Amino acid sequence: MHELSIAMSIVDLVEEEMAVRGVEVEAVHLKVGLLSGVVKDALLTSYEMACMQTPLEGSRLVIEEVPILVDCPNCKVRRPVLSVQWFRCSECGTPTAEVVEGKELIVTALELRQ
Amino acid sequence: MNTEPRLVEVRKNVLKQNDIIARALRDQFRDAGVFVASLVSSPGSGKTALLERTLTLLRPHYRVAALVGDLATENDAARLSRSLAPVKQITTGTLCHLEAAIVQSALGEWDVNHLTSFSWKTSEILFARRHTTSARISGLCSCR
Repeated sequence: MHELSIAMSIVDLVEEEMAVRGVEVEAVHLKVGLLSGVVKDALLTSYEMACMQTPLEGSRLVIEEVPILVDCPNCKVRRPVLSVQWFRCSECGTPTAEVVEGKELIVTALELRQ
Repeated sequence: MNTEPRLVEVRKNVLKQNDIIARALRDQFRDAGVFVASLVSSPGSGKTALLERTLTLLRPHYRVAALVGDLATENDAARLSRSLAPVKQITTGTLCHLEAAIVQSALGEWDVNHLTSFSWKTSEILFARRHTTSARISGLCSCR
């Protein structure tokens, strides 16, 4: 359950942005890769707790999940993997660890209070 | 009146600080030619047993070392010490994963240039250097 410390990092980061930009935030948009090690539901619950008694209390966390893409050494293109437990090109089955997408944990945008 | 939500793009990496340290560690191991493995799996699945056997078999031929993470006890380090390889325990309290900074500080006085192999487990980490193998290290590992 490291989601709470991640939620607190998100709150810190957004509070900094709010101060710099002089805005109020209604929702935080976050990209979460399937290899980021973060469980979406646990993060949503933690976010609510992390926001308590901060300027973000009552704000929403909007999570966009990012699928895993690898560079297939055989097909020479980016492909999805068969599954998290089956790290092979979904087309030709070649094993590969060259992950190009799916590790993200990025705050992408802030929805401002009108 | 405009009712569309107003969005500002930010693109900030939540784990930026961890990634910076993890990259520095990865570079440090690569430069020293140390092979690094991170063992992560379910409780009771045999990480310590695998590591104990691996360290025992490798130690006569390679300079191996291990870092072990546990919530409360030093039992794993005690078990692995029987292999006679250098072993260090990280006790994390309530934290169930090792962050890059925790690994960095646990490495402490160990001179990675004198290792051939290193491993950790978050329970455990195994370090091993082979002059032809480049180091791999995962930035953040979890012990679920």
